[in-house]
Amino acid sequence: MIGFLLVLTYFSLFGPRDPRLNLATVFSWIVWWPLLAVSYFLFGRIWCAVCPMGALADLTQRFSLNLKAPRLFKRRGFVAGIMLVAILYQAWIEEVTRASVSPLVTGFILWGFTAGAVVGALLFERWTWCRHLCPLGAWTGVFAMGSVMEIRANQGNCVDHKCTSIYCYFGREELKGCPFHHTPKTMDTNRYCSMCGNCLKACPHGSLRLEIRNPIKEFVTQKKEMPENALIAVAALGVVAFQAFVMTEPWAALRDAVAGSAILSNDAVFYGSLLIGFVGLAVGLFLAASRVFSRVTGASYETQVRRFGFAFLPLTLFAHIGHNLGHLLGGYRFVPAAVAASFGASVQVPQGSDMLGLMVWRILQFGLLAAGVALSVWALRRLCAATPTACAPGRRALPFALLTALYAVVLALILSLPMASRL
Amino acid sequence: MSARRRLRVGITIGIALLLVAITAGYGLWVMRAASTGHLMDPAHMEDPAHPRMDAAMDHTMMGPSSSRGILGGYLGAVTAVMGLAFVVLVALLAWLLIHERPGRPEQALCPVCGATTETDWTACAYCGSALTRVGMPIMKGGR
Repeated sequence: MIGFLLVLTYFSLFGPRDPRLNLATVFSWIVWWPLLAVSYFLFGRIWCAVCPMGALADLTQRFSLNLKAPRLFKRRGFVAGIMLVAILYQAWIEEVTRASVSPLVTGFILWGFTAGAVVGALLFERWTWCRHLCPLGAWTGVFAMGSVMEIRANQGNCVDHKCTSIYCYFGREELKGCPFHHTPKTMDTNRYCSMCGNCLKACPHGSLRLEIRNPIKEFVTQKKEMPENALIAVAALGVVAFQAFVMTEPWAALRDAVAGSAILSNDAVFYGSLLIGFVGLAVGLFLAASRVFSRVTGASYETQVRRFGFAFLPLTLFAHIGHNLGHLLGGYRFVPAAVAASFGASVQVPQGSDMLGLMVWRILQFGLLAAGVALSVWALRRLCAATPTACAPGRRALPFALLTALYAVVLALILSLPMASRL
Repeated sequence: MSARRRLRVGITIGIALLLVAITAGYGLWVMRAASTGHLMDPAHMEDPAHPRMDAAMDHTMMGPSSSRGILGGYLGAVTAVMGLAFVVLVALLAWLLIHERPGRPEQALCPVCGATTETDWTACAYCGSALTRVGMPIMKGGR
């Protein structure tokens, strides 16, 4: 993986300037990014376990000062703020710099992440960068909460074996403990679990297991950092809608409309305003629905927020997968051309329509969106069942169900528009 | 701190600073390329067959993004925000290293089993009892 990272970095600097023939842009934006989205649902944050930037950091960690992560990184408000800023910054900078059509910017992003991971590893113990500062890690961690796989401990087993050594956290002999500073023994969220398997190997009692689970299970069982995670889940919906919208014709029309403005005609400002608008609208509508529902049910507003925000995560995740799989199906034909161009062959940019065609793309996208809606509605029911006092009689959460429908319609409208190629 | 340890710390921090400097230089170079229109392939941008190049879409890619409006140019909004974010991140890291003494965190004792716990744990990982920070004995700088 490290070798592949070096190859991509090389081609980002010295490869063909046409992004459709450059291995760095084709692989990063057409192959890796869509498959990464699929991996969120299937394996949570497993990318972090195989990330070449993290692997390079692991190699340099033998020279590390091994400082403990600063206490500031453990304050909930700071953690939530950093996560939100990281997610927004990543979405904004990718669009403003046209990262997907520029090998140079793609290479810089690869370098930036690698440098951050290596500096983090040189200074701090374990994966401090990955857990606290990596923008991609923040994004991945949010979606990992809706994954169908989990590693969890059988706490009864820990008690039966009178485990007082917490090998899953500290490691044992040559075996490492959790690289994310997490205690797998008491872990109740996938947000900080890369499924690296360290804890599985380190635990001598076999308490930890990799299991298939209901993807909405965590929304009900999670106990820590709930308001932050719930709100970030809703904010992610705004980011996903933004990422799709800026590739459509109405965005271009909007861009034309502000072309005369001294401030908004600058892309950095325009994209930033649009992103904050999308996220603000998604979160604002959710908070308004929470306020209405807390009045209807008499349950506290805070309870509504920290519980029901999770319900929108499946919808967001499936919209994200649908959007990005579309780009994979539309752009996979660039892969052989980019590989050939990397070996010096003189190749033409592939033209023509996709093999699978627009209809298959649409069916796939709307099928995924429908699955996301179904999972979100199911999550609402489960959340109601878990906190009956927070729901209307009959375990109904009508304001949130209506909001789910509204979000789904907006996402469906955006995805139904002609979408520009990523390269 | 022994001389050998000091040397090791110095070399590690030196390498870290070098990486930070390279990243800053790389970023400025990319921003300069963006500002002068060398970020993207001109042939690609002018290719009429490209789906992003039709009449409705051309301004998604045409021209350097940072050069539009009064905030454009080499030292425009993109460079300013990216540079500011970079400086803030590095400054935050430096401040944390100097003021927070991250290598010597406070540790606490579990009031139930007496085990040493981390200050950010909400439950004792040894006995499982809930940890509230009020009234817990704190071990300053302990390991």
